[in-house]
Amino acid sequence: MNIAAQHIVDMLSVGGLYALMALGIGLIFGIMRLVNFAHGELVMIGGYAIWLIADLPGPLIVVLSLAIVAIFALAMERIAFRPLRDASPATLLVAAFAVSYFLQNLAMLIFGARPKPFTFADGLIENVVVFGLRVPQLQILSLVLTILALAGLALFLKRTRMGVQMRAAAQDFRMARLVGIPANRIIALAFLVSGILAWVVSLIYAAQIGQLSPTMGLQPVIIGFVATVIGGLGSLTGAAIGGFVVGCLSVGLQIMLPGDLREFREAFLFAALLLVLLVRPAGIVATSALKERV
Amino acid sequence: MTRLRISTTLIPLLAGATLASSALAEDGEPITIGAAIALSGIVQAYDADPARAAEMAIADINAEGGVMGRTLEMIYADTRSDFAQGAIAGMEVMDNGADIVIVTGDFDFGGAAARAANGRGVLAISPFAADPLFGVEGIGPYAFTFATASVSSGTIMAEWAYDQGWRTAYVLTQTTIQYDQSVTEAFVARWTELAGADALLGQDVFDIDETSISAQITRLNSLPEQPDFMVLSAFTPAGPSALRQIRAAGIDIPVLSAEDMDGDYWLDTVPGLSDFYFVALGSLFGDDPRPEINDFIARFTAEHGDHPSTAHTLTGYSAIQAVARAIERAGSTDGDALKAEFEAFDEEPLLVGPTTFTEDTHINFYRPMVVMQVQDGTHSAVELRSPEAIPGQPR
Repeated sequence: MNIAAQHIVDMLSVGGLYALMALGIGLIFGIMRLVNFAHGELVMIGGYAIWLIADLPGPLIVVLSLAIVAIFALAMERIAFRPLRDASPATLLVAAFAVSYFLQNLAMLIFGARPKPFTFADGLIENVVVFGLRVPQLQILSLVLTILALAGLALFLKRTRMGVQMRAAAQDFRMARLVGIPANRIIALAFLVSGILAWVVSLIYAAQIGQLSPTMGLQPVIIGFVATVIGGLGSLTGAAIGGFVVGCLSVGLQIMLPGDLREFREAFLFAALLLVLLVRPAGIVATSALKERV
Repeated sequence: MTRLRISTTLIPLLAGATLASSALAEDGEPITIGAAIALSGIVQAYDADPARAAEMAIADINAEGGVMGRTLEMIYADTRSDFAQGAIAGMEVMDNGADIVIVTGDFDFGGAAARAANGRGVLAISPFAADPLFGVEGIGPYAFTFATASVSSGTIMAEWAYDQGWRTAYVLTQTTIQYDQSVTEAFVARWTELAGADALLGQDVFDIDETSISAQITRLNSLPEQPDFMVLSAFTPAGPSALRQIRAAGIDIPVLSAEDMDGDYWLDTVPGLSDFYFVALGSLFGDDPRPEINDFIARFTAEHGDHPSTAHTLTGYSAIQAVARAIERAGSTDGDALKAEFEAFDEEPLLVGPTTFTEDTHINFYRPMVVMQVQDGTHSAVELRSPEAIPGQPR
């Protein structure tokens, strides 16, 4: 029984991380039709930022590292993506790859290619016993942070004026502009929010793997993108659900596959995801966002 | 007639003079070693120290008068850590006059440059590619590596663990690269040979793209009986991450790894690490059972401000030692002549250890390695030992 509960905790914590990643990507895609592959580099920057100032008092670390990620997110939008706003999605995609490679190589230049140990808040990897389950504090913290981030984002999108504008823009950008929503401000805000989500991921992810490397954002961004597609491109609820689905499937397969097949888990995972897309080609939560606009 | 006679004697004389002068020119010219390695990108950090060690060997040999009266010189071309760019870098150093090509210490990253050299009959040396594929079979007859094979590490791990009195094992393998899978295969084969099939309580795998190995850890934790020790066959950065998560989950059994966990640069990832063991080409911490290794590490530290990042560095020095000896014996830098001299190496004493090549085997199997340990976050050497019987690789 304990083991089953432990498996569920594992699924939720992996799924939560993927959901946060998928939301950051889904938000930008909804508004700009941009698959921001440089989102992973925001996670990487967050990790290095926390590591750089790890000797400062706790609250200061949070504020400063968050500010650094936010600045990179905004700069990315202003310098690379705003001039290309009317370009085709293919051009935007190439630009996103360029930003991603640039930031990776910049990190390599500054910090070197060899991974750096991530030593911030080492106490987090110790265990606490909850209802007879041995749970690492980090897993609890990551669950709490994930829930907070998801709830915060939901509140922001549903309850605030900016949030409603952002949802409107995500659903139909041209219509939103026609009714007077300021495009530049809403897009910059979307990047800011995705930067904050990336920062949460970097804190959890770096503490979990205990290391920083210039290419550490690569895997999360790919899995995040897959989750966005599964959830339904253009839908934020879909992105969150997609993240949890991919996370749970991936942990579930690891648990259930017999030994000789576990090596090919990814093949099973993506076959299962393909099946989802066959049944629901537009993703779990289909939106009108992807339909051709006239 | 007289004139003709003069000319017939003159021509060979003249020809002799020209030959002599060209030989003289060659005498003065340095022997060029072309390093087609990563000077930028993700592999740069792994190529840097072996290249520094190679430069140290070149300085040592030149200080003794060089090889056949000629000095050694190293030139570089950047592979940019790119598979395909490797071939271009290999061509570039050969076009700039490289007599021998040194490539990145990995079958995938160094393969393209090695194939380029091999195509021109030039010796292609990878200092530390540890997959037996790097050689005649995977690259071609002119490819050599100074590493000790992955299967040797796996065998030593099994034999050493058995000698500790440990009788039950669990194996966790990262499936991203061939190296770790070869280590595991050799370990499992040798371990079940020594301790019996029941002595392996289970096996599990993970891949580099897993953000968390919690499911694998839960499986290990829920075994009816905890093993005496576990093998973690993985490379950095995923290996140390896995170890961190294993220790964080309260699994305190001894963990045994291969040489891809060598070095102390990742140690802070697992705070207060104890009961961790791995096999390596040598100790970086001044306590290797072989004094010449400790001397080299001390010199390297004095020259570069820090000890080498991993013991792979030893292979960079050894590759140049071997090249110099082969040129001296062959009296030439010709690829075929050097290949023949390399294949005549029988327990050739090099810094990294006795080195043997044959016509088919261009990597070393039965060479001693050091078993290292980490206790309370501190590295130390345990013992030097050679594999006794590598499965599928009779001595």
